[in-house]
Amino acid sequence: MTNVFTKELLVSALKGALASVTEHFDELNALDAATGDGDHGTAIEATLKAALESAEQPGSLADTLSNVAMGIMSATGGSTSSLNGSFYMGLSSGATSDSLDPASTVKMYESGLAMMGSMTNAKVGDKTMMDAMIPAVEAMTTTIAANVDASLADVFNAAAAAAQSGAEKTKDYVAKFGRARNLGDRSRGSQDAGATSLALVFKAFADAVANA
Amino acid sequence: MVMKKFMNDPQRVTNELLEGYALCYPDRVKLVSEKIVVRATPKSKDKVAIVTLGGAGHEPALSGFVGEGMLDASVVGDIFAAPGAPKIVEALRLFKDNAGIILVVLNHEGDQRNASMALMMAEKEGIKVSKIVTAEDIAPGADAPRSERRGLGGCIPLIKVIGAAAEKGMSVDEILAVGERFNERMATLAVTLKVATHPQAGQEIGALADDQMEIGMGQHGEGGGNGPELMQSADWVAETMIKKLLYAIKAKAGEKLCLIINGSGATTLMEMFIVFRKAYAVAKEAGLEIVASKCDELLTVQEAAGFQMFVGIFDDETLALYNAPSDAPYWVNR
Repeated sequence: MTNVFTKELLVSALKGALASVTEHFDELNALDAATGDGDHGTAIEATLKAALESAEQPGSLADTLSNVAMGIMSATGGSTSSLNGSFYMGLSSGATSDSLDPASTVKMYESGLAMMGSMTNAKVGDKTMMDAMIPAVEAMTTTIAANVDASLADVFNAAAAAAQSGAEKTKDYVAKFGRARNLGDRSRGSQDAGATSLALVFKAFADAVANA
Repeated sequence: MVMKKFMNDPQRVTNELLEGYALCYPDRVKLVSEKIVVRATPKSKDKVAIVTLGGAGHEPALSGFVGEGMLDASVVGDIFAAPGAPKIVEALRLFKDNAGIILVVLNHEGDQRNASMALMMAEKEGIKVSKIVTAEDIAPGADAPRSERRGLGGCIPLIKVIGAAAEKGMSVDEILAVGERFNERMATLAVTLKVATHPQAGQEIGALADDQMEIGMGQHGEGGGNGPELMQSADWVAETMIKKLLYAIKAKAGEKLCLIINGSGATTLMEMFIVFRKAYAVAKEAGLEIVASKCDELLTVQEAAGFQMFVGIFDDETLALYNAPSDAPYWVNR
């Protein structure tokens, strides 16, 4: 159990996230095929591979997060490339030191979410990855606001739970963005692949905090 | 059904198809930095460069239209996926000393977002880029806002028009003005009989029963809102589609029309001609003068069966630009 967010934590969390996404590879592709073009597993695996490779290069936490953003955008394309890239760019500008306490970690994630907002107008209920991202970061904010002494584990456990429940709720939503939007009502019933994989990533970060 | 395609490593399809393409037309195009297709002989720097971006798997679009009188570069993503922003910036840098750069972006989530990020990054480097967005799919309704319409094959005739304008030495503002004039008066509608298989995931994209078709399906098999309906005759489909299209562009008797039937991959030229025949008749009856036409595969979706019907209204200037010479591997005008 660690109580600080560091570059080492980032690397071990990304390793866990990559392993988890690889394990759910076919499931993610199948979820995406229901409303999109069936390649989300492929895309998110490539994203995390690029993220991990960049994270393992030397540099401060802020530089590392910026390299992760560029690494993701260089290695991947499609609609998630610049969204994920902007998230890590936002994390980078929010990383005020190489060892962040829980409150500063939450601030960093708020900065990541804000940067994503400049790339997408998607809100909760639009059936996108933001259905997991927004509640996850909000849960982090709420956790630290309710208890200034909340641990890093509390913060990431809350985020992982909120991301998971946010992803599950996408089953009931009609897609408003991306290719799935064109299906209208027919997009209801299937869980959004991007929200699903993001929930796996938050779970991996929570596990990495617990195991560090 | 098991996917049957001539491929090697699924993760290398984009690289290998681009390598093959560049080897096939070495007098006109070359491949730089793995995913950027440029002209074999660049145009002079005192002219505006026209650049576009988009996923692979739609051949010959969009790289097939790199060449004199059309594109200067095409930045290619993976199958059906826009290229990442850094790759787009790399392509824009090649033209930083030109009289200007215009980036043609099809209205799809990924294309738009990566283009926006690339424009932000280019601006930081002091590279000024203008953007022209195509969003001419009328499946969401003739009066749907542009933000809700997809960019389909209409980008290609548009590229023909603005590419010729750039070749003539027109300024960025002049090219944008002429481009937007054509953009405003063009529309596309797609119909699908059989969906495509994603060459990397191996899964079918979307679903259609044997006796069904779907008017309005996008170029990746995504639905068009109305849903599948029972298969109909060529005449019925052609008449239904051309009427919607002419209504959408507010075509008036006496105007000059461009009519293109673009095959999706598995639809034969035989079928395209049969469809064209009826669409032509309906347009002529509506008093339009069909001054430019094509039945061809310009933008495909793997082995999807179906076609996109494109219409555009010309004025004298856009018609002259459309008819100007070009020498791209998949669009040669003499």
